[in-house]
Formats: sequence, C-alpha cells, structure tokens
Amino acid sequence: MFEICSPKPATPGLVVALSAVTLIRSSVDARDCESGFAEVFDRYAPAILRYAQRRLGSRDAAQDVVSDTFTCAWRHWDRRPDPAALLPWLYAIAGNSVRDQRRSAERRRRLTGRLSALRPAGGAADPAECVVLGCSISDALARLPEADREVLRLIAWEGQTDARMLGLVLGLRPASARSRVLRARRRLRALLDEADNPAPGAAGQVSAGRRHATEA
Amino acid sequence: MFSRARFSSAVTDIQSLLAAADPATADLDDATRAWLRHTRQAITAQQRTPGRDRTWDGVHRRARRSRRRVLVAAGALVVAVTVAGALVATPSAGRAPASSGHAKIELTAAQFLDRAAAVLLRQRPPAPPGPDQFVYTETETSDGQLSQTWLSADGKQAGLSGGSPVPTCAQLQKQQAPPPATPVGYCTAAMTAGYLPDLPARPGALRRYLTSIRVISPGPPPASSPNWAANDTGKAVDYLMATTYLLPAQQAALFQLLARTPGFTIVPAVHDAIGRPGVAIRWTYENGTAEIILDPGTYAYLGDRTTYQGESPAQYNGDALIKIAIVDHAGQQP
Repeated sequence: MFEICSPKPATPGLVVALSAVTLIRSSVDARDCESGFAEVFDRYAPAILRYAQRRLGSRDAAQDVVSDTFTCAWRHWDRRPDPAALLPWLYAIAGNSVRDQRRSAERRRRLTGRLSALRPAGGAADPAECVVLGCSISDALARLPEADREVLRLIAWEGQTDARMLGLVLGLRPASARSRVLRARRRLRALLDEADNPAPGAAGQVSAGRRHATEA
Repeated sequence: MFSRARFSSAVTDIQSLLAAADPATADLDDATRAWLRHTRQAITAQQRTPGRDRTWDGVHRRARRSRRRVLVAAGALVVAVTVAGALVATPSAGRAPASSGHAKIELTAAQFLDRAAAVLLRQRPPAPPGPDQFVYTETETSDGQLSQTWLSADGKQAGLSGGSPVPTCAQLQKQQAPPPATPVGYCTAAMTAGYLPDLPARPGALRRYLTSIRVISPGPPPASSPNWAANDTGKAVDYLMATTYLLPAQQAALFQLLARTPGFTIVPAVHDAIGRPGVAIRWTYENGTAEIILDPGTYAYLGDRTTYQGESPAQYNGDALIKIAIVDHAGQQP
C-alpha cells in the first residue's frame, strides 16, 4: 500500500529523518535520479493526465494533478517501487491529488450550495456525458458508490487488469481488489438491467440518486 | 482456478462495457506536450526534499495560506466586537466562553441538540442585518486554505465567494435563458440570501420552508441511498450554519429539526478543521461519513468534516467557520 503524499503531512520527526537520508543520497546520485525520473515522467505523465481528466473533467484541474503527482514522486524518488509497480504507484499518488481537487470543488459548491438547485431539473445524466458514454452507462456509473466506479475506471480506461496492481493503486490486498472488481461488475450489470427494464417511477429515482451521489 | 476465471471474465466484461466510453482523448496536442516538458523541467530543477509542500510559479498554481494559527486564536475569542461600523461576531459570539477541552457527554444526538436549542432560545437576539447589507463569512479548510464569502442579506444583490461572483436569481435566470431544452430552474431571492428572516421555528414548517428554497431536496428519496433523510437534512443545516447569519432562535430551530430526523449520532470528542475541540453530530451516506461540529460549551457552529468511504478518518476534509460579520458592501473587510 502506498501512503506517500497523502493530504495529511507526515510527522515532523519523520520528515527530518527522510530529509537527512535524501540529502545524503542526493549528493551521490542526483544525476542518475534526474535522468531516471525524466524517463518515467515522459513515459507516464500522459497517462496520469488522462487519469485525472477522466475523473475531474477539466484540463486545468488535470494539469494540477500531474504537477502534484510528479512533484510528490520526485520528492520521494528514493522510495519508488519496482519498475513494474511504478505506474500503480503514480496512480495512487494521483488519486490523492484528485481527491484534494474534488474537496476544493465541493467546498466551493457548498458555499453556494443552494444555487446548485437552480440547475435545470429532469435530465438524468449530464448531456455531455450522454454523448460520449450513452445515457444508460453514464447513469449507471453515477449511481454506483465511488469505490466501485473507481475500480471500473481503472480496469476499463487505465488498463489496470491485474488484481495485485489494482490493489496497489487502491490500497487493498489482491484478494480484496478481486472481490471489489466482482462486486462492481455485478452492481453495474444490475443497474444496466434495471435501465433496460425500468420499474414505474424509476426515472425520478435515477435523477435524485445521481444528484445525491455527486453532491454528498 | 474458478475465482481467477471469474475475475478474468469480469475484467473482460467491464472492458467491453466501458471501452468505447472513455471521456479522455488518447492524443496530446502540441500545447499539452510543451506544458509537460516545462513541468518536467520545473520539477527536476527543485531540490528533492520529502515531506514538505512547496509552491512555485508555473507548476503549482494553488498557493497555500499560512495564517492559520493566528486565525485559530481569533476564532477562539468569544466576544462580539464592533469595528468601523460593522458588527463582527465569532461563531460563539454573545454566548458563554468556548470550552477549552472536551466535555463529558452521555446524551443521544437528539438529547444534545434539544438541550442546545433550549440554551439558545434563552438568549437575547442580536440586531439582524439590514436588507441592503451583506453577510460576511470566513472559513478555513483542513489543509489551510482560507475562503471569504459575502452574501447579500436579502439575496437581491450579487455576492462574492472565493473571488467569484454569486449571481442573484435574476442574473441566473438571464444566464439560463434558451435553449428551450434546458428549462429555467425555480428561483427565489432567499436561495442566495445571507439572512432568512422568515425561517420558521417549528420543525415541520421549517422543513417545508427549506424545501421551498431548495436547501432540502424536494425528493423523492433515491432507493439506492441509505440514510437519505439524515444526509439531506444534515447538509441543509450545515449549508445554513456555514453561510448565513442566524439568530439564536433560528439556530435552535435548526437543531430541533436535526433532533427530529432519524439517522444522527453524537461523537463527544472531535476536533474541527483547525483543531478546536467540539462535539460532532454525525451521519453516514453512501460515499462516507459527515459531521457538523459544535462547541460543547456554547453550542456554536464550529464547522464540518467529511471522511470519504475507503479513506482513513485522519484524512478528513473539513471547513472551520472563523468569522461571521455584517458589512455594507460585497468585498468589504469587517
């Protein structure tokens, strides 16, 4: 499980210890570090940018996530995992940054929370998403808990199909990651079936459910 | 193994369902490539020093503020102060001193809230803002960002929040004009008001009023959302306490509304986003746990905290209300 660059700062003692270790090492291998980091940046930064865009929907916010993620990776370069786990490591750091961005957006929305009610009513899904996703998939994703949504996105869009790597991104053991995948797929399928065979009054519930899930 | 086969089949199914629906474009344009090169150089030009957040132009655009401790002291003051003609109140203004530590509380959430309401109802109300004035609120987040908001007392003038305008209903309705496929939402000035003189005192009427100004969702509750009533009511009360000027009797009515809504629990010893001790009124929803934090001695609103599902409670996201004031103009510092 990766725990660096979480929203909460490390304890001061740990920071001092890590700084001392890093300063000693950095005088020895600074040049190797820089070339290794640059290679990893060039290979993976586009993937992290797309990862953030998929979750935040804004190019500016996604660029902030790339900056935050690789700044954190650079600062903790001595603690990077094996090459095979580098991308999941970066996704895990980017996940923290995405959550930070969402928090900031939620704060802004909360301050003028009443205004969110002024959005036009009735549409179950964001029209822009409907164009790309198809409304039923978009609605189904919106109605899933965030943990389920995230594992589905990681598989379908980030290509993380190995349970161990998924576990590294999500902070789960491989077995837990595997069960989360099965659960998320089962729930997604159930919602899609429900959309194909709607119960009376279901449209209103979809709309309210979406609003609820995204505002919290 | 059967479970591995089931996992592989699930992965394939997920990929086939979502593969064509990726909202991100695969190719990068030239501007983005240039930005990435610049970002890489800016990052590697920095000394590697773990555990410390630093900001620099061109890479980090969101500077963090560090006035935090000074404001903690300001927030702990429990006096109403008049400065340059503007009434300034801390969250605990006009009440007994804020407690310095955690109280020993063995009450249910409803009992605590009813007791808080009873205390507030005995207080003499301060002068409310005039209709042409603005309600100023200052908050600090758990990661040290400060935010200032000015809401027009009667909602008929544009406000300011975090440097962005808060439009009036009239302005919003103009913005939301055609296309006809997106009908204009229902709008009243109370939706953007910083003070609500018509807030009813009785819980039933209060809920209907808050629904009419869309602070509480008109429903129906989604079948997939457990604890919907507590989440909707908790968020509504949190919105109002964080952004509007409330007289003691109005706060008491909101507490009584919470007390009569199932789904809330009490956590006697928490700290708000800037470390002030408080009592939390907690509820859960499908994406996590949320709390309204009150001063255990004065029952003043201190702020809120949210912990998202799957995250450690230490990684909470929270806002602390530092100051409420009445001023004459949007943007005017109290």
